[in-house]
Amino acid sequence: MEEVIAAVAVKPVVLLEGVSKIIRGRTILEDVSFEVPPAQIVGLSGLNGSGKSTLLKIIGGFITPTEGRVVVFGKEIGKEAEFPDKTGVLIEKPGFLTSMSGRKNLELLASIRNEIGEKEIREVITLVGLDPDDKRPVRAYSTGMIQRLGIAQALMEHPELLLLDEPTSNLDREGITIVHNVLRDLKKKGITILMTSPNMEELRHICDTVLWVENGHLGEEPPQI
Amino acid sequence: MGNVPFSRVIRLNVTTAVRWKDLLWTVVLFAVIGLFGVYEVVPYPTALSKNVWDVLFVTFSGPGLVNDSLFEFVHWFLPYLFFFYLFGNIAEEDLSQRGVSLIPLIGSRRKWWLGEVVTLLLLSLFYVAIGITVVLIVSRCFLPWSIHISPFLLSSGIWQIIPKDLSVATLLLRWIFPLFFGTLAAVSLLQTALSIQWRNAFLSFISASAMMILSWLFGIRHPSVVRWLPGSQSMLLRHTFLEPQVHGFSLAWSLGYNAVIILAVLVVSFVCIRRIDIVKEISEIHKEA
Repeated sequence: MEEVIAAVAVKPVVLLEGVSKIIRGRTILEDVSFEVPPAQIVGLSGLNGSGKSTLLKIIGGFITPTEGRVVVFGKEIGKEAEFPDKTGVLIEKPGFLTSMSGRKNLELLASIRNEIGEKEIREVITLVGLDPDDKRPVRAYSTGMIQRLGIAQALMEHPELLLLDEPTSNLDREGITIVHNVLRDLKKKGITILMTSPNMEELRHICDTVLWVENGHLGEEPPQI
Repeated sequence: MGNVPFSRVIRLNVTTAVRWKDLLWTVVLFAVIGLFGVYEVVPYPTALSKNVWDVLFVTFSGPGLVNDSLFEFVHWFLPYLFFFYLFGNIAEEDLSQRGVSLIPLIGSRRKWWLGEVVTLLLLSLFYVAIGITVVLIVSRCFLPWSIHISPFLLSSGIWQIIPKDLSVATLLLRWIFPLFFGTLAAVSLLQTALSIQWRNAFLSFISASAMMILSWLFGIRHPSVVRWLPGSQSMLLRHTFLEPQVHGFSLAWSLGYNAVIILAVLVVSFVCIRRIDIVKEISEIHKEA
């Protein structure tokens, strides 16, 4: 009984109700509804073109749904808040000023809210396996390094929710291990993570729950091979 | 979370938009433009004395109504072209390269857009100030400094009625600076807004440049249309008090014209920006397909 009461009392961090997205007559998402409980790692998997990245972008407030509502931390996105609070995001290829170093890029972004200092920035850069004293401009970085810097940028402001679109793409084996360890540690600290990947096996390895997106719908997970 | 102070947004924009090499090339450009002006003024045969303000006038007065000289056109157009290239697309670059990380940190699309607009206006202001300063410095290498307009300029054949009260302050603060800045701000703001709407920096750059080129071309020997063309607003020599064939083209008209463009762009863009997709729709389809 106590477990039931506890379960009912826990509000989801992310709530989607009837979300649809149509772009130029093409249905990308249709009537998608789900919840993301707190301190969980939830994975969205699906084939290319299934709509999983679009779903993440809608939750992040970057594109508006054609129908439906998205509620994050109790606020409806697009009505009560333009973007979800306390949320770190890694979507598409991370963009940085290529003439500046990775650390300088993060310092510039951090200067907007001025809530973190050099120490936190150095820590988060080290956390993802990069060198905070690397003075090379970002244009000299490999794709994997840029991806790691993007993850660092998503983590640096101590978010309570992370939206990560294929975070381990372009990473080598070492980089993938680092990211997985970081995500597990963050989950232990109570951070909620929603991530996409076309690799079902990876998601099953790290996520508490995996949702399968197929042709814009949440469908049944394909059988394990 | 708290509201992000607007000053921080502006500081970030200016820090990321302006690089030292841009400043250097701006100085070089205006030095060359100034030398063009010196080339026009110094060799002109006259017994009357000349000074630095002659070069300033020649440099920034723009092509006249009947002047189809390519040299005069390039002399006038280059500063605009360079500004459009350097800064006209900073908003689109920010949106497409860093929009996902930048705009949520700022907190709202409108605040981000307002920051871009104010940054562009500030950059226009500094660009014009640098331009005028550099031209004066370059011309000082060839001509004397003075606190008065030169006898040469006052008696030159361009004046239909010699303005008896023409002072340096009038030339600089009532004619050249407001017209140059106003036109630059208006057209580059239009360029920026179009770049966001079309999500295409190149197209918006071409559009802004074409606007200026066509203003010069269509205005040649067509006094009835001159005052309606956006680029004409900075062409001092096509205004009524210097070119009586053009009716109703006062300085107040130009200031009002540029203000209307700026206001119209701001109003429309603030309505549109609220629901703009930060991630391109087209990239959506291509990635997901």
